[in-house]
Amino acid sequence: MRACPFAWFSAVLTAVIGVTIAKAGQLCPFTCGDVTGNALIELDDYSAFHDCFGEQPVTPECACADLDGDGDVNLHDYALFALVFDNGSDETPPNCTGAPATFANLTAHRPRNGAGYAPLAKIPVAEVDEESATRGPGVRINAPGDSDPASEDDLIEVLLTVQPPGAAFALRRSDAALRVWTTANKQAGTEIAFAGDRTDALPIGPGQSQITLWIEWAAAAHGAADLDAEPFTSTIVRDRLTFHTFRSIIIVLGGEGQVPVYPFDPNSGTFVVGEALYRAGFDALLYDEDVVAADGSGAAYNAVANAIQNRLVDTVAVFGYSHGGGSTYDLAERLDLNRALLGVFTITYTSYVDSVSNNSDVDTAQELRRPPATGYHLNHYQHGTLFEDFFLDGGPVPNSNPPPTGLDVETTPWGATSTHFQVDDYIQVRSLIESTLDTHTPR
Amino acid sequence: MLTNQNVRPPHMCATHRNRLSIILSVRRRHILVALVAAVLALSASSFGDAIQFTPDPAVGTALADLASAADSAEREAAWQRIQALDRSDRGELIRGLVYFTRDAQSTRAGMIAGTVIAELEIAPRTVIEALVPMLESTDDSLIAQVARVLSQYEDVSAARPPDYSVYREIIEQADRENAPIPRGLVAHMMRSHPTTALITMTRALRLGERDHAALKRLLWADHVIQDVIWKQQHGFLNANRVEPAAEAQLDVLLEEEAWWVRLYAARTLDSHPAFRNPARINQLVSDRDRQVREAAAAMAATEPDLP
Repeated sequence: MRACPFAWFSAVLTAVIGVTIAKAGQLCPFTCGDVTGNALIELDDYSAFHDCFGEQPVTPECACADLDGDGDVNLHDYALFALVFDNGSDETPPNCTGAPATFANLTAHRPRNGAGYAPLAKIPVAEVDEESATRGPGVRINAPGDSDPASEDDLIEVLLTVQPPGAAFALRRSDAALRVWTTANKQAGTEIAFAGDRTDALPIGPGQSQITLWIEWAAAAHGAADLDAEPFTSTIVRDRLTFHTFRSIIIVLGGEGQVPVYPFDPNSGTFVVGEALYRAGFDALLYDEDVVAADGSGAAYNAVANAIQNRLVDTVAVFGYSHGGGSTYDLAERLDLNRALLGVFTITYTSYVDSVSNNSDVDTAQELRRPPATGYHLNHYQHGTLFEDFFLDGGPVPNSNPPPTGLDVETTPWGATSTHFQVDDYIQVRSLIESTLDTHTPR
Repeated sequence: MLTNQNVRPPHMCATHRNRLSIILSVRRRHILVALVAAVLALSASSFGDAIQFTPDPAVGTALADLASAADSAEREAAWQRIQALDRSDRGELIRGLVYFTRDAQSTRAGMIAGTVIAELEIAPRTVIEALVPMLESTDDSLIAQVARVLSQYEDVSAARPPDYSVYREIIEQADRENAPIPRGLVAHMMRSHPTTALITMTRALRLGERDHAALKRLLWADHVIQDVIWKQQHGFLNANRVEPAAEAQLDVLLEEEAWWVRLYAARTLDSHPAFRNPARINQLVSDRDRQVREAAAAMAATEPDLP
């Protein structure tokens, strides 16, 4: 949200002074003196007031500078402006036609997985990220005709909060690809229409302070676009979300017996990394490695295939721990073998953490093969012993990073006593996966 | 005595991991006992009826203790109990491993089964023969878990089909001895890879000797159907389309006498919806064989518009 800490005070102040005065000049849509319409009366308003000074008759842009409401901006108005500057007085500017300020906050959420958010949770995009074209809200392309086998999980949930309750707001979009619905599955009659790139007043009922909206990227092309909330009577942006389309899909595979259930156990380091990437604006899907069969088929493969074939995703990243590492290989191999069907895509990134081959639930062999066709492979491993970790371990993988075969964590001060069951949880391991994936994979 | 000093050198090949000094002296005798027990179990079961299994609590407890042991001494003690269980009934231990893995909630617990099989050097054939009867269970989660263990011995990957040679031997033996065919095993093969399963069945039942025309008919039908599937899988044919010749061959298979051929047809329809039509699904749902009916019913449940 863009308002400063004084915004609500200003709103209260405005309500107190009750400026609904007989109209003599232009209608001021904001608090009298708030020439810029940002809910504050500050130096920017002083500058704008200065620019308006002398106007007669007053223009719409200068309506809030006409504090005495007599149709011009002169020294009388300046005297009143000095009173209300920085909300320094509760005196009523006579005859000003100002209105109570209204506020809005847009909160986008990270993408769904089918009909809900599991195995993750409904996680809002952080305020600091919501206007970022990378870390901001990501949206899956939902081109016209997309049958969406995952039940319209391509739409992004957005919560619009308005103040005061019932305030009239509209949305403005910077790209016609953005469409807005009041239902997650685009039920008939629930689309909010745009005239040009602006909606009519949103269906916010009297006394209602929140409305849930569903944002769709309905175009067969990638891009980034803004969605703004504006008071219906002005073009002042009260809050903005910057959406980016997902070009990539990230598959995260835990170890044997690890089922992703939110909140994630800190001992499931792979899922902790997956959640961090999800929060950072990636389309990360977290799985129990059992969803990848020995031939690479299963839910994870289907998700990638759907993304490539229906959502213009052209970049894939896969990483996993223990048996999840073995499944990383199996999935990459199947994707690589099925390129003729899937279309053009790149496996930009893979990572193993103590990777164990996953031909079955009882496979204990080291997975030492580099995943087929990967552009960059990160490899962490340690050495197993019977009574510490049942001899389970990964090992050196050709052409891996750090060069030449990956990192034996037992050669580091922090990982010298590592076991198979700890190696995925070191912050050094998690951080390196996060940073290298971010470097090698677009969102 | 096994000690914590038994540390494997780095990057040693998995097949050379197992250097436990104990139990080796009685290994051959154990395998023989296990094989005889497995064959007896196979012979005793009807394979047509569901079999109920009850996990041995002693096995589960020993495995749980190994998973939760706080230190090396506790792990070694738990390990010795597992070795003792292995000596008393290897099949029971193997089945206990399946139950334990199915219910595992951590990587440590989930990986124990593989370690036990590797360290006790349990032969693939022994594991398979202990598990095949479990495929007759009515517990879907148990069957799924058994499948996730059996795949260890199927050598399947995205680049190659599974190797069902051990299964072929088991079925061939049952046929030779006029024992019931292990239907759960056939269903497992058909679920995993129908075309390899079909070929395996024709060989195990010596169709080439008994009914050469039938062998050629099945092989040709499978070839035509797989050709369409290959075209779909590689983008040369829309996944929603099939060629008339393949549909005709599928209809031929639906009329075959052998239940496992019709099961192949049901599994093909299940995994390749383009082959489905109401007539085929309805025919399979009302098939005279229970196993075919059940496979078809599960598929039909995913067809909301089926009349």
